[in-house]
Amino acid sequence: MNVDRRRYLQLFARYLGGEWRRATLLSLLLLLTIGLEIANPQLLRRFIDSALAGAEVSSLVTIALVFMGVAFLTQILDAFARYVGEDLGWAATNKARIDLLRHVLHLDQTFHKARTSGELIERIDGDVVALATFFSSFVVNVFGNLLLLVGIVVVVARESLLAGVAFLVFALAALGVLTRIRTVAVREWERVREVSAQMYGFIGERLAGTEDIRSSGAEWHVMNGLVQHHRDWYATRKASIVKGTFLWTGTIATFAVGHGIAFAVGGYLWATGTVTIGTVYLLFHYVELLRRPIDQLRRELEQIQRAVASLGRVEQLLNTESRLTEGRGAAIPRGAIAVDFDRVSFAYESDLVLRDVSLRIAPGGVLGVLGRTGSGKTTLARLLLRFYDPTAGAVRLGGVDARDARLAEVRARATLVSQDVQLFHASVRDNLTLFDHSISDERIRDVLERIGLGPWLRSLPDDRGLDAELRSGALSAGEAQLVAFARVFLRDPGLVVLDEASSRLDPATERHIENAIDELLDRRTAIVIAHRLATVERCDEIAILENGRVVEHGPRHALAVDPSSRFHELLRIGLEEVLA
Amino acid sequence: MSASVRTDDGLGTTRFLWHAVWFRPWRYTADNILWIGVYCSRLLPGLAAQLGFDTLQRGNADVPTVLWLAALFVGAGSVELFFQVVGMVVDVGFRFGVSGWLQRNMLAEVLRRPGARALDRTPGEAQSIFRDDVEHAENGADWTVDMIGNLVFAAVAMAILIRVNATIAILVFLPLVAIMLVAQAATTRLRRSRSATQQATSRVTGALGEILGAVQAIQIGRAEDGVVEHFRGLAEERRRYALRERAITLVTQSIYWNTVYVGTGLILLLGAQAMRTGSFTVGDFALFVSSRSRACSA
Repeated sequence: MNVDRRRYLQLFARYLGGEWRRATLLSLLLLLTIGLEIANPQLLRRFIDSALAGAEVSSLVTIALVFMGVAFLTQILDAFARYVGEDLGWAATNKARIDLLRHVLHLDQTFHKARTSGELIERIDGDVVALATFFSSFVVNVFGNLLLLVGIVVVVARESLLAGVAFLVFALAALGVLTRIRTVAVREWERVREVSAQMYGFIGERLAGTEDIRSSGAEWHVMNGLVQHHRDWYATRKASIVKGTFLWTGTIATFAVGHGIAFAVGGYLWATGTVTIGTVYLLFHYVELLRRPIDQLRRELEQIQRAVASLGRVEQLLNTESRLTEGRGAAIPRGAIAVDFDRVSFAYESDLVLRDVSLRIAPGGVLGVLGRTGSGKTTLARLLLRFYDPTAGAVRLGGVDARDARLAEVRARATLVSQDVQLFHASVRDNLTLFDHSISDERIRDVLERIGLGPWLRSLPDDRGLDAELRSGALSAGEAQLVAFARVFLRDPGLVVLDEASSRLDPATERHIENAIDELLDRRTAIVIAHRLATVERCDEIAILENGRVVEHGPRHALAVDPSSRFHELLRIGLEEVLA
Repeated sequence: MSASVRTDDGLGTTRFLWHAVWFRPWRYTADNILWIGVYCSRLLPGLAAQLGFDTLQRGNADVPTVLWLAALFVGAGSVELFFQVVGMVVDVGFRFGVSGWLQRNMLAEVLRRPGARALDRTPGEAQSIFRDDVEHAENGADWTVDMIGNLVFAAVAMAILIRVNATIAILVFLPLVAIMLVAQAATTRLRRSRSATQQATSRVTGALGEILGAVQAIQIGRAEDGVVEHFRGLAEERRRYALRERAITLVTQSIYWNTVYVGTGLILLLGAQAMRTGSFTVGDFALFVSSRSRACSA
């Protein structure tokens, strides 16, 4: 726990450290508010005692006006403090969110395969809130309220030690009792949710099957079922309300006792002649002032428990490291690059997906990879982009081991175009450049014209062109594929891995796509995971994968004319039928 | 309500509400009486304070008397507590009665219709009517109980306070109504601003979903930094909206608390002369302050 605490403190230092100005302002505002809150009731005493002593009306009016002014100022400062606290919380959590997102985006595929995006959203957007909650709970509420509570007890103790002790005992007891009641009430409330979920489930099912119910004459049976569910529902609602009322009334009862104690102590001191009646009222008023800190402290204690759990998860995520170690920075040559699989084996968990694969492609060459689903084609492609490192052997790009170059370098020089194109709710420009603002509009337009998306760009509503928001459904499957190609052209890599779309496209887009592929393969090395004969015909060499092994590899022309080759067989039966 | 909970004879909202609350008149009456008790019992601590301070001020209180008076506070709290607990329990019965009655009638009606056109909407929508609209109806019926309780509380409180000091009572409590109306208007404003925050939030989570669903594409495209910047823009936008919403909430709350505290000052201001001459006692002051804060929380 101690180690944990130190780690949480580090987390705080990281995200709140930069916000120290706002944090200082917040602390000052809090102290000022608390001071004013404790001081103001003193004016009430002064007023009562002066009035009873027959002071001038003008001086009484002054006290009243000062009281109003201070009360007003306290509220304004309090609101301001809360605003600053909120601002601080957002600043810190947004910073944490951004860090987490960046961190997650740099984690390897093994990590992402094991998690749903929903889970990660919860970590990044949900659990992070705990950072703000923890801060506001700890600093603003627990610290502030404790200070207010202690301040009141001290001020009261200065009036009379007896009263001070009474207040302290009362505050602690109230806190203890109210905290305990709360836990019971929350548990009951969860049960109500459960039972009503069951009941609405029952209603929903019956509503979906009215026809069956009528045809089998089971109406009476269904109504009976509803009555049964109602009985449960009523019973849990009642139980929860009864226990919930304890929480509600717990405060009433506690403060009734509190007022009783204040009056008893004050009255006793008054009867024995130690204090004025204004002081008795002061004590009475201070009990009321205790209401807020006690109520908030009680709630915070619960929140903190929840926040600790969330913080733990955030911390854990930040400490997860990518399995891919960053390379030492070897440079991959410019232009088309040679690709070399040198006795590569790869196991995902314990499944051997690739076995001793050796393939070599000269700069500018085009290799067609054929094989059924699960033969290891996709893994082969991913190794080239260093999504994984081989279990044995090495993948070399332009003679450089992929593990030696920096990840960014590998993915700048090699890229993958796959059939599912990810589009974002952002401008057309951002979707094409993938948020890289260094690419000029001129270049983007140029690329779009070249691959045949020019007319599409001009057809966008309001003439906003690249600034238009890309709406889902605004692109056909073929156009989306072209967007993916545009992304590649804008980056100009030396190696393209093309995971070809297996679905059929309309002839017009298909022609555009054929042209785009021609351009794509021009002066670049390419590995094509082909599904169609038209694409295979572009390849210089063919490799056929089966169960993670290369079972055939050679120049396309030679294989096509060799009747004993698998490729020949494939061409005879029909590529589309076998590989679909 | 009439639009959502459809019945064949097309009841209007008011008549529908009337049916919902009056189908078991005794339960409704009992619920009302108890809730009038709940609200009015909130005046008891103030009355106990008035009695207590007045006794002290008269100067004839010895220690046993003081202890009896202190016990009075606990007694007042107990009465409040009693009404609250019993009120809640009877209320849950009343509320369940309304919901159960509606759900049974609706289901029976659905089952009575010929199977093929039993529902004029999808089962999902129909289920939400069984849940959400029935809950609204339940709240609506219960709201009448709250309303009546509040009105009686206001009348009783006003009567007590006017008997103590009519000028202060009227001058202090009438502005209260006005301020509460202003706060109400701010709440409407708040609702609008909240929807802006919700939209910004859904843009943030939407973008996160897209990004986390496209991690591989982002890594292939080396777009990690660009995407993070894109997300930063959306997150900051949400922060701005959330802060604006917060500011409005804080102003509303401030108005509310100022009503309570500045109002206390107003009582002092108006009571200065009367308190000097002894016609407005410390006890009266305690009663006014207490009633005022109860009225604000009601």
